[in-house]
Amino acid sequence: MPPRKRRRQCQKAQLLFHQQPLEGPKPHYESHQQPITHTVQVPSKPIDQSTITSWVLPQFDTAAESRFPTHRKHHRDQARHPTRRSTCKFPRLTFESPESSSSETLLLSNREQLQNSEKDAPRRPLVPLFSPQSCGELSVHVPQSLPHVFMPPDIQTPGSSVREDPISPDQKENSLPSCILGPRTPRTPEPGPVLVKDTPEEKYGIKVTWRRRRHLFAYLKERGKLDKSQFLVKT
Amino acid sequence: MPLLTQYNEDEYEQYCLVASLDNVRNLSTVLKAIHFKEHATCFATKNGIKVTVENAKCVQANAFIQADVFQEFIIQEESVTFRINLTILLDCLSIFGSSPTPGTLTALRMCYQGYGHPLMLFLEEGGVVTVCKITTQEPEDTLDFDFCSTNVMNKIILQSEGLREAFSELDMTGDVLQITVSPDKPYFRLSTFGNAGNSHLDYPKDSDLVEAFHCNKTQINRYKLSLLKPSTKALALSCKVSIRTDNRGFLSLQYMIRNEDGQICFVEYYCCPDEEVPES
Repeated sequence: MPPRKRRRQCQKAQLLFHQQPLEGPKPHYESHQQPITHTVQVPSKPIDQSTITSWVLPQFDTAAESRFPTHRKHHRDQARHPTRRSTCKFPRLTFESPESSSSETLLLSNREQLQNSEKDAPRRPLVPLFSPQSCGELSVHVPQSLPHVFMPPDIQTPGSSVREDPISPDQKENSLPSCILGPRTPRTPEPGPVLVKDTPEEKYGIKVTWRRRRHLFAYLKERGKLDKSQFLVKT
Repeated sequence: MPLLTQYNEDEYEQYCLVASLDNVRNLSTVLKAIHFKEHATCFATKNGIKVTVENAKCVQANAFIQADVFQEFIIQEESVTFRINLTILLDCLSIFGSSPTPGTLTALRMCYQGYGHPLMLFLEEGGVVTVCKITTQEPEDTLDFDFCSTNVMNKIILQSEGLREAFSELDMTGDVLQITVSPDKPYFRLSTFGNAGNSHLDYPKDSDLVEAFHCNKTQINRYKLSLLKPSTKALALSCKVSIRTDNRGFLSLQYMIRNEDGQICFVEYYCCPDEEVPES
């Protein structure tokens, strides 16, 4: 068997290289050998007082390091913290109790009607107020209209109005004057910022579906096609 | 520590050195950083305790444990000096276990009565007290490196992580580490010459890892890697390192180590350079 293997190896063709070896001087690795060296040695000395009392001379700013015992990142966070506070542009929020806020509302409303000062603008109550200018007749009798406008029974009667028909002629007599609820109200909301219009009293308890379709609502109701249970909100 | 509470003032007076630690690891960790020889010399002064280890008249390592690190540090004399087996000392300090258990600390009280007396260690963990007495020896002569700040030619302060990466990436199969410091490029270069070839690692002086770079003159020195390898223990524990070379080429590596309580200790290595032997 071995002789046969040898014959086969001899019969193989020689390998052909695509590229010939680069010609040039061969590197002499011996030239890169490091020179012979020896380590310097220091002498010994007896232990004296200077050796005993010698202490480390820190090369670092240990005072700064001691302030921030944790990682460097913490140092950066601490350094940035005051900057964030100084750049805050929004004023601090102040929260008040419901009683004080309600009393301030009344006071502010009085001030606005009497003085109409701009200094109190930031403290204006965010509630819709009835403009005295919109009601020419009531502007003369301002002191008298206040209790009438803020009558508790009228404000706290949505339950009773739900049970009864809010559009009946009898209810109109007890409701607020029409001039106050008239079309002129939304035209001149000068006293304060009116964000959301108040819901008319006659619409109390009526489903939103029929509030939005008042003509259809009136037509069907006039012809007796709507029952109370159909358009009133159940309480 | 029930045994320690029984001590009174008279017993305190018999000891010239008393040092207490709530966490023994604050001491053992620093001592491990210089544990490349079996014996060490301890110097105690009002500043704290300095532990010195030397090798082959070429390397000296000093660990400085400041008095503030100890909860109690009382020294009755101006200085106290003794030589001790560092291996045994470290074994005693970790007698309750080397792996720290969360929430468990080993308290230490170290007492030394004076010349010829043993170093006594009172260790307490979980109510169990262990008393160790380690024989002390006569201190021997110390190496005089005479490394003076006034002779320092180059000084670089690095973040330790930068140097740790260098030691892990450089080819350490060679004999020497060449340190090149220059006011111009490459500024700070570490080079090794191994079997596979030469390796170079350059640090630009404006790198984030470089905190300080002071160099007035180009200096190239070589140091035996076998002498520098033990310093990697301190490097692993440290957060910053100061690299200084003096006019003779002597190298000083000062490591800033922060213990578990956030206190700072220092470990300093001095190493002699290699010099070429003139051909005869």
